[in-house]
Amino acid sequence: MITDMTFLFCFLPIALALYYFLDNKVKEFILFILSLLFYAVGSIKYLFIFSCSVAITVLLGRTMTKAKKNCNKKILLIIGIVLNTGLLVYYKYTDFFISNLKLSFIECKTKNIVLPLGISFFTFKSISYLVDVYKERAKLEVNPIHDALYLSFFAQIQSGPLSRYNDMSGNKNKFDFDLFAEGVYRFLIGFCKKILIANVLSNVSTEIFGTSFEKLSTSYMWLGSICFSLQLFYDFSGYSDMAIGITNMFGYNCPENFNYPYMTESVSRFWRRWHITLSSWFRDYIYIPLGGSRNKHKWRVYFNLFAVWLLTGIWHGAAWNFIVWGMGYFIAISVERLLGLPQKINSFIGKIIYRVLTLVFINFQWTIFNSKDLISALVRIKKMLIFTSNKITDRRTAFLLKDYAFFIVVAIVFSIPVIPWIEEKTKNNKYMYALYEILSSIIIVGAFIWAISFVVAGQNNPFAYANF
Amino acid sequence: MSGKSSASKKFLSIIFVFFLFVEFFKNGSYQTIDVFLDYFKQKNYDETATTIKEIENKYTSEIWKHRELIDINGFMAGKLNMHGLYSDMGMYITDDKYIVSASEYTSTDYEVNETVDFRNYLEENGINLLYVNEPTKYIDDELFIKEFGVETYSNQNADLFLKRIKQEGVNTIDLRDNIREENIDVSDLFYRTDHHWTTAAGLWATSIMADGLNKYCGYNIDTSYFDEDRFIKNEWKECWLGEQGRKMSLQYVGLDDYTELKPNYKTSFTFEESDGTTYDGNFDGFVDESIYNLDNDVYENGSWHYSYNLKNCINNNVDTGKVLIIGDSYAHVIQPFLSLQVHEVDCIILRNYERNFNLRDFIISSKYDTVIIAYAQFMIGAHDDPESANYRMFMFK
Repeated sequence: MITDMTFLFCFLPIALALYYFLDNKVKEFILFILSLLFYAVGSIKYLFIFSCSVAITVLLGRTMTKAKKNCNKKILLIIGIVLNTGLLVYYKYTDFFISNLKLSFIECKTKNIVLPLGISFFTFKSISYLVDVYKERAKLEVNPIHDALYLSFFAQIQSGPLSRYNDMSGNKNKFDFDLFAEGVYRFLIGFCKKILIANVLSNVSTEIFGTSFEKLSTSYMWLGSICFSLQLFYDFSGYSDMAIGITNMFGYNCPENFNYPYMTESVSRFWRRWHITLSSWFRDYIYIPLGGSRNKHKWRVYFNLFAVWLLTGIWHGAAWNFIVWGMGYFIAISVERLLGLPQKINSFIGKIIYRVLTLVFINFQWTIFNSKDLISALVRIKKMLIFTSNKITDRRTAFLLKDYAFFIVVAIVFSIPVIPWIEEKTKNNKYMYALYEILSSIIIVGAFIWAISFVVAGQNNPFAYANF
Repeated sequence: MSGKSSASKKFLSIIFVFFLFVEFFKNGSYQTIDVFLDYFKQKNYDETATTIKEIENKYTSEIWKHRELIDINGFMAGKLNMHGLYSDMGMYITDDKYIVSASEYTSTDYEVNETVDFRNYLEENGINLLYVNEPTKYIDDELFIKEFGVETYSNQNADLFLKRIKQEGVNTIDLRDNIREENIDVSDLFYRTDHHWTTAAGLWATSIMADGLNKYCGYNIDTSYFDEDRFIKNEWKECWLGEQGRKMSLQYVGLDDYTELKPNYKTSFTFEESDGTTYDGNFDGFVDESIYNLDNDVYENGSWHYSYNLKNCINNNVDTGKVLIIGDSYAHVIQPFLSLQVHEVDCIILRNYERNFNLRDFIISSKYDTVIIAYAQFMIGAHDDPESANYRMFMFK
């Protein structure tokens, strides 16, 4: 895990030293070996399968570039997609299928398969690599090690971002101090987001989502769901910042994955701000190939949306609540499309109300997402909608609000673009901007040390998206 | 993407790299490489294998400036006035920096059955049994709801258990009754930063237990020997940090006070070591005063509570009585004091014994006339969790 102290103070210094002090020719090879080591630490059981999968995907990609006939290329593409998707389906969905067969009274045992590290992300990257090579969108580098590194790079293997082959560009022959400094800054920001906000708020959400139904009160459940919404944002965007930061530190570029998602104007636009690389992956490799929005038949557009959101739900987890969660977005986005929302709302107040309603909807969606199963998701939503009081948990709500007030306020404040706003306001005044830079640097250093103290004090949780 | 980065970001990146390498060398990270290599060399990755989590935990616990980092964490938690940040470790803290823990509900069935069965066995062999309930740091479970909105069953479990064994005719002392009768503030009996009670509380409890021995077990102990004015007091202010406090940090909870108590009358004991060897001494033989060293680091220093040792002994000044205390760590400040007025007092803590240890044979062969079970009330229900360190405390077989 990239917030582990062994990663920070053992793996990363070694990786940086090797990368920057070794000959340019071997840099990517070293980085690839380090990525395999990183994978072995996280998922040693599957290292062999992962290595084979990377090798086969690169081999297929490279062979495709040499194939002269289009049908041969297509066959290679299909083989690659089937192999990669097959692995994902087997490891991620076998137990889901078996448990559903069980419900149908067919006797069979679940296999309790442990997920290989980052399998969902790796599979999607492999598919995008193969498709981009097939469509000749990927400008392949001379050395196939670059391809293997793209597929396995330790910074992105666990939870993305789902970068494309061409995204992983950069001049590895020359040290780019600007990019490196930008990377360190992003890494520090991400580390603080994950440890100081996501992990701390997870104390609240984990407790509330772990409380038995009969003890849940409306206030308690709302607090839990809001904290989870904030936690997940800081967890995943924190991870993405760290991944982007590390990628930059090694001289490569990486696409953005978040853009203040809770500032969204509508449900549809939320997904242009949240996990951007996943949304664009589905757009480019599922939605558009299916025909996208430009279709003669209106029903076909909605079918395409249905397919995308069904797959999005399934991709996030092998459970019915994830499928319902995906369908929730399908319905909301379809309704917005049908009614022309929010464009048809003209008044300022109306727009504000629509934004609030959007956030409430997203909050309910995260409640479904974070529930153990569909039944518990529905019970929790019922508790949120129908007023229920409980003397003890109501008191607990007040206690948690008081105890975690600082972190909740900070989480809310930084989920809106205050930093870009301050930068905008100060950039024309040299002294103010210098003051802002100095202050922000001091705060970041202080926050980073504070974050390390949390890890040392035993408050470090896995990334929420690590299991997807 | 690679735009112009600001000077502050560049400066930050230089500090970061410097920091990474300082930590790398200070932590001896190059040695951790060997640890990882050993991990990869393992033939199996089953339950017996070293896990990455273990490697990570060890590395983190030995990180350079570990203590200072813990202090930073606690300092910030204190500044933010947080009371439940460490609740995942089972600890909550009141406004007075008094650390408390919650207990799960238990039916008490297991504990009642074991205790009654044990009493029956002892009775058949002419041995007295006295059950002493030692309080935890709060005697009203409402405290938790009022302060933290959390349900705890520590006192409710104890109430239920004691009621049931009393109905079965087991002689019991509930020290919470004495706290209420004497109008004592329970927090005065405990260290703020540790789950143990103070030496003075141990002495106070011993006096009540001696009274119980007189009442239920045919003893004739002069309890005035346990009056505090019969003891020499050595007091230290803000001198040590308890086990719970070490996890929450010195900066968060501050230091605890400590009082050492030693009788002001002459004592003579013959102590028996675990290997069977004996030696003579006085009450000082119970107390390891080397722990009371203010120059020692409060995190590294041993727990001051454990400066009083459990030692099997014979009081050469008293002719009668042979008592076995089946206790817990609270007994560190009971057994030495009870030994002052009973010929022979031994103490065992069941969790420290192997499963094949036969308690009943041991009691018969050692010819005890009385057995005291003296447990902190959070032992009730520990058997519900097979992973609990106290799982075996009520296994009186």
